Amino acid sequence: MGVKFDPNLMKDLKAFGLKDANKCMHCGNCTAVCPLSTPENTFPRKLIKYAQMGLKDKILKSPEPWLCYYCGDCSDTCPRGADPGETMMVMRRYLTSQYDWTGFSRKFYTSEKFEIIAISIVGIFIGLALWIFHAGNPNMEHAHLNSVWPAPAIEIADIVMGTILAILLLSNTWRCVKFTMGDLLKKIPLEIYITQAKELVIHFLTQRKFGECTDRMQWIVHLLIMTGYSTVFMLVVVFLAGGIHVIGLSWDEIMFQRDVIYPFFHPVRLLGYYATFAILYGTTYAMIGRLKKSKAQYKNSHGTDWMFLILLQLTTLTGIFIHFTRLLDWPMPTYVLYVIHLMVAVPMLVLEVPFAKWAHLAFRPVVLYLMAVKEKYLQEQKGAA
Amino acid sequence: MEKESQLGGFQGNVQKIATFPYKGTEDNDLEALIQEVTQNEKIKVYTGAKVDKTIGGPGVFEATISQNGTTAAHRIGAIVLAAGWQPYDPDKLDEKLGFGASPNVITNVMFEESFNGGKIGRPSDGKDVTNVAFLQCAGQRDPDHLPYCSSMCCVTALKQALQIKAQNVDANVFVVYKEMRTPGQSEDLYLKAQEEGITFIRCQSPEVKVSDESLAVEAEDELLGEAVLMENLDMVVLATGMVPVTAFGMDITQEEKKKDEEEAKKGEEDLDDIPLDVIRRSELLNLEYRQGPELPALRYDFPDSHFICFPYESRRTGIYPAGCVRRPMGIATAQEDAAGAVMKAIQCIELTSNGAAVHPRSGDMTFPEFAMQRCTQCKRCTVECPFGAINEDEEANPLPQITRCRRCGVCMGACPERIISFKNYSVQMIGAMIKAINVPEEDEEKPRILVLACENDAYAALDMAGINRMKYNAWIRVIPLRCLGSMNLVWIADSLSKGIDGIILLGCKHGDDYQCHFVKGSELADIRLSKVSETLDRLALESERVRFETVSIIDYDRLPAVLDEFAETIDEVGPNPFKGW
Repeated sequence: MGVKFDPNLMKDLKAFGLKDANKCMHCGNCTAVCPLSTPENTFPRKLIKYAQMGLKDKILKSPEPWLCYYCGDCSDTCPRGADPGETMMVMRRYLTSQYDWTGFSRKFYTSEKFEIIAISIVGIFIGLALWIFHAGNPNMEHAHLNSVWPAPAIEIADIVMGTILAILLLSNTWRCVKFTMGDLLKKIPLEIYITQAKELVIHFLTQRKFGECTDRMQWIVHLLIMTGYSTVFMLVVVFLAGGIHVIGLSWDEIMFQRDVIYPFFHPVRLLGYYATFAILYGTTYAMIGRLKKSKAQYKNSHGTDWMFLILLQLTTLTGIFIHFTRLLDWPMPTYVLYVIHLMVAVPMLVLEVPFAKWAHLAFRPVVLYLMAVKEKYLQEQKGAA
Repeated sequence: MEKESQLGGFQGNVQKIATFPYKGTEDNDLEALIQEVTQNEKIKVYTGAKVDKTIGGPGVFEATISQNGTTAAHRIGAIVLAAGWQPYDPDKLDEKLGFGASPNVITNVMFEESFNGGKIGRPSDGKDVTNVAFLQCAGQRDPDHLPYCSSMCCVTALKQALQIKAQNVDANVFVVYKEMRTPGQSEDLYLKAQEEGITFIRCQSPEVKVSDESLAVEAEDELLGEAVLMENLDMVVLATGMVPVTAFGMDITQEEKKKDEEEAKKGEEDLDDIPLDVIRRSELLNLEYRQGPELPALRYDFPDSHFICFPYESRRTGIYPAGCVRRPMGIATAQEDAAGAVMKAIQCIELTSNGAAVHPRSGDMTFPEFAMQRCTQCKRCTVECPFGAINEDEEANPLPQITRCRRCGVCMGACPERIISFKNYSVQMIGAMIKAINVPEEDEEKPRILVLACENDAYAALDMAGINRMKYNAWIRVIPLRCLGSMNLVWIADSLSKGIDGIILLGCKHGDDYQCHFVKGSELADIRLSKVSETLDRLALESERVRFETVSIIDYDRLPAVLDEFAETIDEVGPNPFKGW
């Protein structure tokens, strides 16, 4: 009994941004030209066939979408204009929505209206909360954020948010692991998982595979955005939370959001500057690219792509502006910007991290790690046989 | 002249056509075309008619046309044969394809015929169709059925699939193909079909599964590496191919064989060595030619000439096949083909009326003259003429039909009595050229080698070798011939008796992929030469002294090596013992 054709998947994938996949005539140029495709995991052609035939189960089991960094070589080479790179991108969106058990991600991806409304609601909610819950007598002479929104309260909110996000993201990642590995997951001894763990860190930090693509500029831009984002995430979510006195954890030297202004060469300040530069450069490059459609990977922009870039850039801009207004000691602009900053940053974290584009920060290194584990396991099997 | 009661042929059944620019399907506006033809006062249309007899040759054809019991005779300049095709008989198809097992398994031709102008419905009950599979290459590119590709079925399937999609956007249409063949711009139609959401499955051998109520197709998808099952199909359309109408009817060579067996005792001169053309009694032209009533066929019974070098040419001068009788094709190509064939016909009438030859020796004003006093009625000229230009009377005297002649000189080469010559090309002329060749004495240790080269390809290849400054043996002297088929054996005998040490004939490739401008010239030369070696042996001359080589124009780079190697052989064989006699 063979596989069955399902006409609905293509229609479904259209909502995720699929446009040209049905033009594919399976010449295989894309797979031939792809620097990352391997004999074990060939792509993109295979995935396009799955899409055309509506083979949802096969897509769900495929690690290939996460092995692709979207350098765009395939789309440039395609003689049919079937844009295989875009199909891989769509697959990542689709898989993100499939990994998500809440069903929220699916709505987020399939309806632009829903996306905007969801982000607006969270933003407005944060704005209102900050408006309502603030200290009785804010310091209007000097820019002292703690006098309006004391750090411990923000810290608690931060911890709560962080925990919920972590639970959602980890549970989705677990589903990703289960789908990708199938039966093999339990067959592979734990030892291999542990010995290969370094792969997870390497792929996360260096995106080594992206370096194998022909277009190195994309790798650099991607690295800038990723490192900038991670740095600021460390500063805000980890260091800020590190300042919680309630549970006795505090290390004043590196705390974020304190009214003391650190000296220029203070590591927190330098890291902040790096993150700002990296994110602004990266996002601006990507936004100009998307506006001009300068490269294959920028030709098709899904609503979520724009949302990701806009929110990230707005967060960074408002963040650095707060830094300046504090340096200038302008109290009112500081407070206003702070509200805006959180109105942008929080929805970005809450919605993008577990449900949308942000989630690839977890899925991709995990899948790459799993592939390393699988390869090692198969090697050992072969050696044993 | 149309066999059916109205013009249009199979296209009369077709509602939508796929043609330039192949961006989608288009309405088939056949009616306007028919109007244009019937209203043109220069065109005389016979429908429901048949050609009883065609006699004469280009410019002087006499066709007798019968229609409803009356006959009419016309003087005709040239003929375009566009008699078309028949679908391959689906009953002969492999059982795996399910034809006959269910009324819902139909052919692409039945698709056109049943849904002409109407709704496309399930053949068994006329209900709407939502799941349709097209199986390509049904009995095509298959040595057991049609060994060739009909080239239009892929485009037809795309067109029909698009028709179904146009009727019902949500229909699931599958095209199961071996290789999708959409020549030229029709590639765009393939793209269009993909954009419309038609599913393509590449499979070499799909299987139709028919049970009581349901129809399914199982196909091993080569691109997926797994079998795909298409269930609940409303209709399966098989792409059967085109058979030219010239493929029907008894082959006259078979008839001859039977007759020959009966007359075997009579002991006529042996002509068996010359392969006869396949000519079937397909009742299209009914030519009164000595060589048979229809056009000789090439491969697969298509009466084509060499399709790249000489499109629309046939081996009967003044008769130009066009459309699917020439090779399988779609409507767009058939229209181009018709224009091409008509151009040829016009050229033919023009040149013939000036007394000149047609392609490939266009404009040649000479023609073969027969010194009939010496004719022995051996029939060689009438049998060997590749273009059927010579008829015979009851006494087997050749009756040359000048306007059919292409001036190749094959008859001149064939005639053992050497009675056929042209004003500007004769056995004596080439003989004189051979006599004029200086042959070194034996003690000079310089053999002499004669090259008789076909002037169309081999001579040009020698030229190209020269242009490329390649070197070949200096013992060689070259005489170009109109066609190697005009090579008369007396030249070989004269050369050898004169002391020339070796003779090499350079002619075009023959066989299925022949390149000979006169179709059979080089093949005939080869056959004649095979007899020479027997004669040589009898004269105690080494048969290595005479050789036949096929060269095409692109072989110039290997020509010097061929000639040098032959020179070496001759050197080894030693000097011709007849030197100095």
